[in-house]
Amino acid sequence: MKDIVRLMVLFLMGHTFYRLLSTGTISYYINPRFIPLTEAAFVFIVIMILFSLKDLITAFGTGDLGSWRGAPVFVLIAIATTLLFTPQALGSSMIGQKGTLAVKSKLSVEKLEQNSAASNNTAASSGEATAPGKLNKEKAVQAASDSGNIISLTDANFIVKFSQIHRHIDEYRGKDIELEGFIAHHPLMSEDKYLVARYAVVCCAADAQVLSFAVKGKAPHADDTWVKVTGKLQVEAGNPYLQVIKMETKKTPANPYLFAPEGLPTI
Amino acid sequence: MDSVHKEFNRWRLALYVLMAVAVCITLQTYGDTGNGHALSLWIQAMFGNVYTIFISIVIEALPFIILGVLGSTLLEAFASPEMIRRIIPKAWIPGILIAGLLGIIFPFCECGLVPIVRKLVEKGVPTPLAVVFLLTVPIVNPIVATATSYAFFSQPDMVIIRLGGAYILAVIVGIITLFVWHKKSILYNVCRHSVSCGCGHDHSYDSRNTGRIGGAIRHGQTEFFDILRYLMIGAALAALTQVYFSREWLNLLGSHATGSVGIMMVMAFFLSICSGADAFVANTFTNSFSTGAIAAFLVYGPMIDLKNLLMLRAAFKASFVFYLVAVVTVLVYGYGVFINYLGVTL
Repeated sequence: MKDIVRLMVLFLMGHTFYRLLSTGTISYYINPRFIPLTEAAFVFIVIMILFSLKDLITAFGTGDLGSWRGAPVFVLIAIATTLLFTPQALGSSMIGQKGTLAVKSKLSVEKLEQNSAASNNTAASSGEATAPGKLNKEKAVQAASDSGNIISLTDANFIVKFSQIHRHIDEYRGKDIELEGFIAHHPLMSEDKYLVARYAVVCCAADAQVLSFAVKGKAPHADDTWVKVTGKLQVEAGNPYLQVIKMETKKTPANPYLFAPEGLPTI
Repeated sequence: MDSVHKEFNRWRLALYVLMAVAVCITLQTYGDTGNGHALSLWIQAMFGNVYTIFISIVIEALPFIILGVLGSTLLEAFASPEMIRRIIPKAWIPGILIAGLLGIIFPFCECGLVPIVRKLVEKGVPTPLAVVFLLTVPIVNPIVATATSYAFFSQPDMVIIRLGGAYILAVIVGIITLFVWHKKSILYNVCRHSVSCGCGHDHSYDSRNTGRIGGAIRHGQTEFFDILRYLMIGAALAALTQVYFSREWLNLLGSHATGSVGIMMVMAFFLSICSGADAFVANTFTNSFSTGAIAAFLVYGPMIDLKNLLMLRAAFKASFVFYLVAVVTVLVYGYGVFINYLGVTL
């Protein structure tokens, strides 16, 4: 009986891995840099399935099923529950439970800028590259404002620019900021504000942190609706928020998280 | 076994397979929210976040568990306690220092380690050296170093804090043991497990005549599922804590310089997660708990946890196990508090 339970565990694990890898929804759970490791694990599971199948065929031939003792029944139940869920990324319902950019890291914004500039050709080619090296505040503002007067936060530069803006609020006060994110309400926020938020992930969804801008007013859409918002950065009692200039709904992106391989800076 | 019984078992097996497939299809149907079942929508809304965090920890940790099991399987096939005994120097201090580094070439997981250490002691390896070996091998090894560096990718210092701390603490335990237990026997003489494996696995059905390699593969299979069980429990508890435990309470508990260390040590004890996977669970507490508490979790769990304790008790005298647990607990707690006292942040 142990062999049959093991085989079922392996089949279900293989199924889960295959489903996530083949649909790309694996990125709802882990940083894509782990995907090669996950693929290797999937190959190992397939090999183990073959071993277990051989054992099962032998058991069928001999008619000796063995005992239940040592069968991983708990693991089977746990892995079978995964069938009850459709893959989904973290959304607004976890906003209150996830820290807001609280990852403690020795990484400086400057280091992130260097890494971002070195590794991010997308941002560079779109003319809104983050300048390499140690930027002074003026350069940071200038670099961030390359696309006209609007500071645009893209997937490629979101973490760097978000950090710059929150570190130098006064420099950015009154600037127009554009970003995409999902609408959320934090349980501790006043009712006249809502959030446009993103999750930043270093390793996996378990370490996700919230990067968000508060927006003044009543949310025009339901929580978890993805929007592109352009707003003027204002400060109230030391806390920044956006005064909406323009907002449009967007399709939920295939890859909703921001991935931060080098970690997140402390603000 | 008579032919009627055999035929009956075959039908039983076929029935179980069919039932399993039917259950899976049913679960999958209800699990697909695209079908619009009220039940599936409710499940997704209530437990969707738990599932997301749970499965993310499992997916991330699994490659390292596999790596650990493969290493352990190879060692099971090709390494022997005699080989380890020959490597350890005879002199006390060099012996203790070297014993603490043997995990680099013998990365056994803690599950299979207790019977090996028992064998080492039976073969004449002095208790202090065996203790250092027991405490360091599940932590001071390349697989755990790699897993920890992946889990704490943005906080590479955690690898040093974990492996360095474990090594130093184990050496201290070894030196204390030299004075306290050197001349006394620590072996528990009642042979309730086979000496070759006291890890609590059931080998009754695995004892097929498959040779040394086949036996090692079977041991690896058993170990894989055993570790998987503890990983599932750990990942589920971590996910439930993240989703349902008040963030404010968690921050309050985790920020206390001494209390947070104790809480994480208790958690490490009960979760009993394999050292190749526990870093991924620990990382989920990084933002709530102090660095010392995380370090204590990562050092204490592989040295002393619930499943380990049962194995230790099966192999060694109760008084020795009590001594070991007490010394390790005090030292790891002190280490965690010391890190917090220094104000180390990652």
